[in-house]
Amino acid sequence: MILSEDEWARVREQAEAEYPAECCGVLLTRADAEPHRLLLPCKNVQNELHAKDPQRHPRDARTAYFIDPKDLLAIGRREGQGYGVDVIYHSHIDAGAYFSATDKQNALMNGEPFYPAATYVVVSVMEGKVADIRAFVWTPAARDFVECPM
Amino acid sequence: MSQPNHEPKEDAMSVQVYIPTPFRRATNNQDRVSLEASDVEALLDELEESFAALKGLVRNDRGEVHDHVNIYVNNEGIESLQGLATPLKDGDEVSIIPALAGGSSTPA
Repeated sequence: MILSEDEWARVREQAEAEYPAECCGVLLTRADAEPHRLLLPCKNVQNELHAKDPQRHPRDARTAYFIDPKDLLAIGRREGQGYGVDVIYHSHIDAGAYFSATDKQNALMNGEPFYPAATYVVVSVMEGKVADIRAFVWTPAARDFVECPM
Repeated sequence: MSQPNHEPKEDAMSVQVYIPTPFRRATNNQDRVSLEASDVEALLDELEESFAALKGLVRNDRGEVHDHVNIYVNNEGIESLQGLATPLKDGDEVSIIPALAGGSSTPA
């Protein structure tokens, strides 16, 4: 199970509520503590970045996401408590639920994934409604993110 | 927790550094490191001296922090402080956290 029914319902709700901006968030898990699973919807600050420096950030939130650094810090603090980043999700606006070249580029550091054990979930939102959801995991043999069953 | 064996500098402050999962491969899997440094730049120098594999992961070869890396002193991003010159004081916690970003293939 990548996302429970409740988690999936919350992601769907967030994705539709934030349309036409891409939504984003993470699922943190920890086996030895309550709660075992912690869904953290995050703020996409891509519009702010684009408004501040359009040359450096040519895309707005309709075609890109950038998790708010405050949320990154909160994720980091949870990691410090023993949680792991299990799922990283975002939506595509009026586009398919594929793992794009941009997604891949941003998920790698010097050719290695930032979070090799995480599942990347992409939600397609068409005209304000969720149309598709797909999951991708880093596959070392392929040196790529490969679709996996939801 | 690492206690690197450097001679403390006169103006250096004892600081805790939080290392997130993506960078732990470069820190022998340590998630927290204790260092002495007077500012963020000196801290990164110390950190890279202690863990050579971190070189290039946090800063480029010009010494600038990569766009996809965020550094915080306590709860504040250094971009809203004094950048790499942000002074450190005893007990500060520094977090080095990579960005999470992406997007569709649709051009802007």
